Amino acid sequence: MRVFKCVKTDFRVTKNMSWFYLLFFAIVIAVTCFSREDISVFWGFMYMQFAGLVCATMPFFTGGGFLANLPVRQEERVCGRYLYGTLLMLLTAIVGGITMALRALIRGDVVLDDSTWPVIAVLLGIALVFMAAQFLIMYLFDIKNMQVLSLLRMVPAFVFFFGANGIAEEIETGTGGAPAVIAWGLEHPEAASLAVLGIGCLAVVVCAVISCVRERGRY
Amino acid sequence: MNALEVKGLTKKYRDFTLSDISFSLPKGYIMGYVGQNGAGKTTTLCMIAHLLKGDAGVCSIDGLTYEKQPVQYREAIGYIGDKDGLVPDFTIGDVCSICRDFYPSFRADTFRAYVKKWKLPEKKKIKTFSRGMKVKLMFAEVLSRETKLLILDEATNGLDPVVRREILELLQDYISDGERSILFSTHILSDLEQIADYIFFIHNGKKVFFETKEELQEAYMLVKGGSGELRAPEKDCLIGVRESDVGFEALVRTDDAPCLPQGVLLEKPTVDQIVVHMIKDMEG
Repeated sequence: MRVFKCVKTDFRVTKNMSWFYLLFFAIVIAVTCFSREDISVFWGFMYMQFAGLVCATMPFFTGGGFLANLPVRQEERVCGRYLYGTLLMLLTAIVGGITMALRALIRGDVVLDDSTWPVIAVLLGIALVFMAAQFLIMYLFDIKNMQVLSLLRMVPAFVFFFGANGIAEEIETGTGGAPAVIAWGLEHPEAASLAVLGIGCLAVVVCAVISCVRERGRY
Repeated sequence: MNALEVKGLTKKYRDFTLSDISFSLPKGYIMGYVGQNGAGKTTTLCMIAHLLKGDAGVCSIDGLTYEKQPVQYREAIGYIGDKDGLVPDFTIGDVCSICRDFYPSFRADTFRAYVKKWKLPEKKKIKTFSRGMKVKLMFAEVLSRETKLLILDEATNGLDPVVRREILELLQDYISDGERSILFSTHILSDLEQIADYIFFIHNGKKVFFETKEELQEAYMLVKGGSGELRAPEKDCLIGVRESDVGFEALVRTDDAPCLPQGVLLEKPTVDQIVVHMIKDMEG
């Protein structure tokens, strides 16, 4: 139960970022639904996942006596943090899906069909791997330098966004220059989506376990 | 059973070592933990609160140890540091909700009563609070739940005299049931003069003394006299001599006082004077 209280606390800590999410959502809606540029169907989804990756690390920036003194085991605190990150990525994925549906409704030129969901699952799986890696680095190295923390917060999000953009372009335009693994994924979308989503979930669990061990040793 | 038992606390940093700190604090008493900046006060208190892992040593609070009962151990502590440690974007409502979630003994009505009594703004974010308001909020939080030990790490620093007096009265009230104790680190030794029962003096990570305030003040005397009144042999029994053009001031063990010449003035020292002269003596 304390794990869920830690999740609730992390969401409470980041609630002041709600204006940021709303702004992102408004920008994404405006761009994907009304832009005259020919942008990817998945652009809105990737952008919301980018926002999720930036905001997921917020609780690491708000350490302090009050929260550090809460009567919680270190393992519960760490598990709560990873659960918070995973839920946040799922929430941003749902919002990203809503932007895609709105685009389909407003522009009428895109239909969400069976080929869309595997791509969404792959992108979510990759985002979960990035989130897990960010958290693991934060726990392993106990970084205090704010500039390094800010880099650790932003760089993975940008790498994810531009990398995912490249994958999405390859899926939509099929230039034929994709690496073999992506080409395989294009030929076997359901298997690829399950595999990548599974890897994402596994990454979260493995990184959480390593982080728990590390935090137990620290305190 | 003592409120706090500390045995052999040790922590090594590159340039500093906290060495083998041990003491016991009985229930119903206040212990002042004093020392210069960088002496190891915050390190000790953080290790007791388990905000920092030591290299050696054990702590127990009312028989509870962090290793066996981490949750109950933390519930038994009310910790207030010199940095407020509150999330700047929180409101009082957020603090209350989190305390209700995590501390079974937390009483929201008591918390609200303190907030109302001290006129703390409930709707504003904590980052807009003054230092005094933040300290009051932290006290409201720890006093609204059942704790066995209050750990105050320079919590009264930067407070005006009126607020500080209020806090000191609260602390005396806190221990009045004889079941709870306070570990209080401060540079404002006049505060300890008023409320402390025990004094632990730490210097360069090592214990210098740990005594009751009364025993300490009886063990030493403050010596004052004119510049030419002391001869070399008499100076040997003085501790931390401070000389000026008009005279000198030093500490002397009460047992050594008969060795001093007749004309010097002897008086009971304050805790502040004892600590200052000892530091001067240790630093040569």
